[in-house]
Amino acid sequence: MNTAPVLAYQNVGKRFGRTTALHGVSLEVAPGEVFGLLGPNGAGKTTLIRIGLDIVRADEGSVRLFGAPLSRAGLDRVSYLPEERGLYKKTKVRSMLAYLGELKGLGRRAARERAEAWLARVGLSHVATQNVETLSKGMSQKVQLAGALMTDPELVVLDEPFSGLDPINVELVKALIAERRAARRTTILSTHLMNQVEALCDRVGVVHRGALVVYGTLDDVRRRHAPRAARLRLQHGTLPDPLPPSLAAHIEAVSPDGIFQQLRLAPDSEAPAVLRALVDAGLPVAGFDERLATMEEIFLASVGASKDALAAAPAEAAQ
Amino acid sequence: MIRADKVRTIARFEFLQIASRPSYLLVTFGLPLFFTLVGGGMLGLQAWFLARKVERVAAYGVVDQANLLGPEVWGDDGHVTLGPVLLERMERAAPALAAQEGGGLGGSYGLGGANRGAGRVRAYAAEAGPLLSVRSATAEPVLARLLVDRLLRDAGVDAATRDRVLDPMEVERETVTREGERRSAQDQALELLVRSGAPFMLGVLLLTALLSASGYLVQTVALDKESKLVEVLLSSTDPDELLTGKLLGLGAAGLLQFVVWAFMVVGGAGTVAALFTSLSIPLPWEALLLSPLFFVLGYLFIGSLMLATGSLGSSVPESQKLTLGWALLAVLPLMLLVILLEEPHGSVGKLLTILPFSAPLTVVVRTSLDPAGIATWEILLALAVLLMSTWLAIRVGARLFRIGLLLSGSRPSWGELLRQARIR
Repeated sequence: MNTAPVLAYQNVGKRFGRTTALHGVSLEVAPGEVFGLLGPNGAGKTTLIRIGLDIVRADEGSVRLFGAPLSRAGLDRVSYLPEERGLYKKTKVRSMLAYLGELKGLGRRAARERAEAWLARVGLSHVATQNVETLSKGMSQKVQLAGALMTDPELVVLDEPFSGLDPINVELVKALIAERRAARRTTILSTHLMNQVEALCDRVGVVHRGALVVYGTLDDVRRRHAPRAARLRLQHGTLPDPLPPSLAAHIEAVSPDGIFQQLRLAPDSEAPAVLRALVDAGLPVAGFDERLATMEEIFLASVGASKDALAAAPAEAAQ
Repeated sequence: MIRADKVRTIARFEFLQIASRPSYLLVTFGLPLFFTLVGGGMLGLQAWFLARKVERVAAYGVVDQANLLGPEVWGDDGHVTLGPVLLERMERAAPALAAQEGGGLGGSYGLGGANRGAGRVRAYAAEAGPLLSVRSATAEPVLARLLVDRLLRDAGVDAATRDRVLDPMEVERETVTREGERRSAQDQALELLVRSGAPFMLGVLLLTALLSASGYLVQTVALDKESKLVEVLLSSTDPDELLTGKLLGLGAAGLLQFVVWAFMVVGGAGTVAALFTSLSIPLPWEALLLSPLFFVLGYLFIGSLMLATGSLGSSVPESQKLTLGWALLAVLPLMLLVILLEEPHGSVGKLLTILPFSAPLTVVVRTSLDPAGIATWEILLALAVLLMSTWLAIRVGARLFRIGLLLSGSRPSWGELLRQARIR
């Protein structure tokens, strides 16, 4: 199995006039994964995507696509759904999709057949012969998504694919992304919906002010940014107050949380050591969860404390 | 390297996008048909009306109490008819005016007793009668002729001299061509119509089709930006492929439009020629054959410049404003058409022939006005200059197009453009 990165940025930098859009960004997207590219508005995500698709060239660094320098042949294996997107209003829906398919290298007949199939797939067969201008925003979004996925590209970049969709269609998009992962097709997902990132992504990268400030697998990142807390449930009773010295060395504070108790861990304690100390103390432990950071917390922490985050960026990016 | 399959896909899509529009079909096929039908209908109606007028004899009353015209003028029934005018002798003014009111007479004239000395004539018109100008152009010259004839008779002038005085000259006009052929005035008028009408129409149509196709280019690139489809397109194709595909697709739509229109001109001119076969009026075949070539080159030249500058705008109206300058340069020969028609091979004509903006229209107009007057080297030079300019325009245009496509929001400064041009 080929495990070479599908897309790899190495120390990429880009300036627009006096504005630094990106500096020193290095990241890799692995085959078959769903990679979450996150960051606040204006952080540099779109520029990073455009550089990866050869729409804009980097001032510094290099980009490799499918293990080779950027080329038109490589880009034919990639599809893109930009955040700011649209279609020709006066064109028939089926013709529009077929055109997008042909531009990606499908033959005329194949493009037409795929367009039909994908319209059925997203539940829009009934508007195939209508002009794009007659579609609602949600329908138009689905046509564009179909346009990005109809060639079954090896890599697809979806920038805010959920915007404008109702909950039913959000589920449809999630299912399509999950199908791609099952088929070992790679997806780069850029979204502000952190719950979708947690549900869909294997790895994430957070860009802030042109730098990569968070990067890694979803689990690692959530663990790394965990608030050093755990949730405890005893079969009966609560933790003694004050804590015995064997527990006080690991637990800084305890607070009630319904049938649970929230534990704030000491700076040098790890969750497994705390659990072991609780059991050794003879307490009837019925449940113990290490609390991981949510992506929303990670995102806010990363872009909120910008100075610290930027300072930590090279170290994190290197991991 | 530009990939032919991508260019073909883009060109076909753009062509069909435009060619399937009702407005395009209407302008290309419907408009010439409409003008032919309406124009022909109007002309036919006017011709029919005038013919009816000519056939109909208009009657006027003459009250000649002093018998200035003399009794021998009037026939036994008291009438005299000269061409389309019938003069009816009336004894008094009252019945003349009554007949006039009843529509029997187009007007009436009273020749006073003192007329011989002063030449004073009183003209009466009914309110609902024909305009004075119409009457004065028909009845009054006849009346004047009769009065002159009478004066000459009274002066004892013989019949031959009287005829010479009344019709002092009869001009027979002829034009001698370069080949020594003689053409009558009627031939010349018709040839002038075909020779100057056809170049004018051909020139206007060439320019209209050229600007129309270039306008479609500007519109489509602005739409790409406005509809936010541009990034999807650029992730699938190279900007040069996009530019080439658009140029070819919309150029084909423009060429089709021009060919259809040109056929209408040929058809019109051919019909005129066919109606007057005896006159052997030459059609501007040289210009017609050259015009598609000059259309294509002119379109590629102006289209590339328009596409490039149009791509710098962020909306259709802004892009159209940015390209207005190119359109004005292309229209230049039309502004100077009077000079071109008057002196097709003069300094202005020669200069406009070698300027790439004005060459297509100027060559077509000059060639159709007088094919022998424009030297082959002039046509070849115009082609060479146009080819070189087109090559340069496409190169510069492609670069600007690349930059313009990705710029959104405010229009870039010249500095920013140069900087971006260096990066890409």
